[in-house]
Amino acid sequence: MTNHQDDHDIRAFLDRWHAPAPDPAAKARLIDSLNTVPLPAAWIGAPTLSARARVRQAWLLVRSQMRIVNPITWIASLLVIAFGVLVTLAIHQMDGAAGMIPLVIVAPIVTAVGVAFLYGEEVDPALELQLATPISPLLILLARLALLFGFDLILSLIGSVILAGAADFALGSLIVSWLVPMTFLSAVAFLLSVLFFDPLQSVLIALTAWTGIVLRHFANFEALGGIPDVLAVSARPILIAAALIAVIVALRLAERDERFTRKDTL
Amino acid sequence: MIADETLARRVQNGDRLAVDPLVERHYSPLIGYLYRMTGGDRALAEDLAHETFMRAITNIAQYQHPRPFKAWLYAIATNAARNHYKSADQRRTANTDHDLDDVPDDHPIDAPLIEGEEAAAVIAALDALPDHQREVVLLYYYQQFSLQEIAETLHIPLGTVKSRLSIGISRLRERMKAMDYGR
Repeated sequence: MTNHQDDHDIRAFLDRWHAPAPDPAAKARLIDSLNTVPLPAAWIGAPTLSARARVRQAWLLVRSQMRIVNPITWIASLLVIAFGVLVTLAIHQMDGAAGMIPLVIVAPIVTAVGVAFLYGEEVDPALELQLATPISPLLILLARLALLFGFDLILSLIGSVILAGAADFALGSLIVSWLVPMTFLSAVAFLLSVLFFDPLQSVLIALTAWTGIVLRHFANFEALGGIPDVLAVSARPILIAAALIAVIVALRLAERDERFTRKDTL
Repeated sequence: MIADETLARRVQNGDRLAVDPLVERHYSPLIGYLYRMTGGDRALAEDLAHETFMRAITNIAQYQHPRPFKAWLYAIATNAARNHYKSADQRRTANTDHDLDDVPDDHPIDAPLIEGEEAAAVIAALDALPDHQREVVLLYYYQQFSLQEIAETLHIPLGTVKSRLSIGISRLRERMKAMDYGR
């Protein structure tokens, strides 16, 4: 292009013309003007909300998701947990044995199936519309998770109170016996739904895992002897820790929008 | 130091605090560029710099992260300067014999800031270049842009930047010889 000597001469020549220092007043006027320019997110950004308004906003979000989640999910959860309570009562009255508690088996899987069906092309036609709103997809996901888990939690608590009253179960122990596996399995289903974005695949994996866990704990199959009994009381801290890890991993993955919008929006 | 591109992305996301660092970094060099683009009209350079930043922030959604913000900003500035002369028909035509004596009384050059005849000679030499060559020379020598940055700023191929710079330098050398400057 040019040799070094030319370049040096040109630079020396051009350096004879100095630009003036900028006028601070002009810069201040510019900054003032720029402060009046509406920024892209300024008009859609939420204003600072009071605690009450935040609670109301959270409630509105959860309520909006009630309409989105398939009604069959609510009905199925209610029926299966009611069925679990009735069977538990029947077994208890037949032999008085407290070793087998169907509620402990059904509560986690009902919740896990519901969680797995929170997202997916077939189960959520309104997702694309919601992703176009200022509310983050992650928040929508969490709202649905809280809604479904909360619903099953209340149902299972009611079932436990009924069982404690009618069949002399220790309420605290009973609640812990299903709450820990329910938390674990729901967290796993949540992670699977974020990972695969496919409800059926998530349900199948969660069901298979849960079946193995239950068989290992209750049936004492020799083939499953090598698998640790995660329903044992001693394994509860591990289940809680695993659930926490699964939720954290799922949230980190969900933060990457493309991971759970790829099939619906791209 | 946070990269310009990161700051621009923050502005895109509505972070007003990211605007000031961008202004602090680029205001002074941009004034220098526009001052020379306008042949030494400080008031006009300030107006164009004002317009450039206003356009950039107003249209920040059009900035494509992670492309260089500086090139995007200077492209806006260059267009602002071109449009000014196009619309007002104020662009002086190239005049190879231009020197300080030819400058009329109402010429916009900021006389106190021009350091004597030497600065006037530089102005005359640059003014003799066609617009497209002068832009490349100004960006390369005064703004310290790389050839690639110039190509991105002016939206022209790298080869075109090289040829414009080469021809521009040749013409400057001719002017320097004519003025008996240098060798």
